[in-house]
Amino acid sequence: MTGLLNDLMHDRADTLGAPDLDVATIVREGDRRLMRRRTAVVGGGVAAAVLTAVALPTAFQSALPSGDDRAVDPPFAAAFSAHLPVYALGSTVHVDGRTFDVGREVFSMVQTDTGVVFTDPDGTVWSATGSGEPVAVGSTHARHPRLETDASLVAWMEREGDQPVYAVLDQSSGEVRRSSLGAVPGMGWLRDEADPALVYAVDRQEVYVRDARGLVAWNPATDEQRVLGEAGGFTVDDVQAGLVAHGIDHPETGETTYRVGPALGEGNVVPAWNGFALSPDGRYLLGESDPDEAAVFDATTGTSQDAMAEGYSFSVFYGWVDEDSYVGLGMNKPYDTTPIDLLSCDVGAGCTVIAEAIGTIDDGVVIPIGESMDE
Amino acid sequence: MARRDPAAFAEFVAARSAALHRSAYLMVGDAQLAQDLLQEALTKTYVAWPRLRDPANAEAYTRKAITTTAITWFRRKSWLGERPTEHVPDAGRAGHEDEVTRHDWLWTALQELPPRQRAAIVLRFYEDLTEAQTADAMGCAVGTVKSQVHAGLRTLRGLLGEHGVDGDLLPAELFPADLKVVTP
Repeated sequence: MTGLLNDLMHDRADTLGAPDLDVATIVREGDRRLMRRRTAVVGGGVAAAVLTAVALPTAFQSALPSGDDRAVDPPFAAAFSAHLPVYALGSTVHVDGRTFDVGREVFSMVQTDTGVVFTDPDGTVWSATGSGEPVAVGSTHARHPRLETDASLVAWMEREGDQPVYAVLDQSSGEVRRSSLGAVPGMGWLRDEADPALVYAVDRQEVYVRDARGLVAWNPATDEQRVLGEAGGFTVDDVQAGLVAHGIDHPETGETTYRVGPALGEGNVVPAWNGFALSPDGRYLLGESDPDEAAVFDATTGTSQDAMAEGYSFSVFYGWVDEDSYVGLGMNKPYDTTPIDLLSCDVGAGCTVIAEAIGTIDDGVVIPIGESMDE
Repeated sequence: MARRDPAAFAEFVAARSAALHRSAYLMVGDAQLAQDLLQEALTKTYVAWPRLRDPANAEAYTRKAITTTAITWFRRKSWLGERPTEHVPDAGRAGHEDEVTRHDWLWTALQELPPRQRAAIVLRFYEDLTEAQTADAMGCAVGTVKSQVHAGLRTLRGLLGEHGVDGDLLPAELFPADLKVVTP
């Protein structure tokens, strides 16, 4: 026996004609999103982690063991404290021309001043310094991880049943602090969900999160919490020096106003379609002026300039070397299979290649952006 | 890592889009909207393609994208306000419903359920997913699925009861044990 509800749903569904889908359009849109996402995911919250990271390794040689000293495989601490560039291929972390294996595939990763924190494909969060075995420090969304960092702090979202929990690791001490703050059961995981509980950024000692109250700056050491704006209608992309790069939606017009300021709705408007990473002093914002159009915005003047690197069909930028130099990737078609170059660029000037052909997207190259390279 | 293969993706679309479209339609109640929803979900699936590895994963991923996107769109776009008003049978006909009338009532009631309740019911009783599979598709806990289904069925049952409609909503073996059926 079937019931009314079963009969109804099958009857209604069976009357439906075949959908009129254009696969070519779907593929084209998917490819466009991939390019946009690769730009977007490399922005959020990693500026401090890669601060000074991509100054050429030679600039840091004095801070590192040299010559014969390096032949005895010194610990990686010096390389991490000098913020030398890091990337991963499979389970291997590359830094300062050397590698160490973390024993499981690196799915997403951030770089701190003492090591890396990464997620594996199962969503386990691991802390690794290159000395000893990686240590499991938590768990997060397996397919859509989001790690945020500044200095030695790394933050991510966890779940206890249906309850969102904010977790913060101080990698220098190994201590993990957890709190549900103002999150309530049932809040979503992802930014595009209606009511998500999120970690947006770490800036110095504060973790910027979204809970049921809105945008909250939380100091996990003191548990002090500052509510910076009510929930709904905003997106935060990065926080640096207390300045929040954010967009505020205007449902009545469908427009979004993008600002860099100390709180939601405050600060100068910048003509950004999307924002990724603030410079350490909060003056410049890496972002897009239009979809797939990389740009650098000056938050003090509201102006922008293109940020595409010559010689590449696509370039993405994910962090700042210093107050006016930033780092990114140069990519050519086909994007999944063409080796990627690591770039360093100056505001108002060009880019230089600092590491050539580090791998391909299909090889599983992971850069320290805190999110999956390929969802 | 698997490559993003447009040909394999096109093959998946050809094989599964009709079934997925039907599920999307039950969730949103409008054929064109369902097609838009399916197109969006398939775009997300194409982006995720290298990690889905086989068609079964791809279908589950697309179904999840349909579900979560439908819920999100509903909230953002206030579909209740934008959707064309469907004909609601006159309450005066409630004393002599035929099957068509009962289906009209039930269809209207199903579409007026909150989106998460509607999605849970479609996934459980049309797609025939388990509670765990439904929870995965909705991105929530199994307990949430149970409560959403329970609330949705209670609403539907109550509405049918108000209009004196006889008949079981579900096959007896599918009816939640803790949902009391009250015959008016």
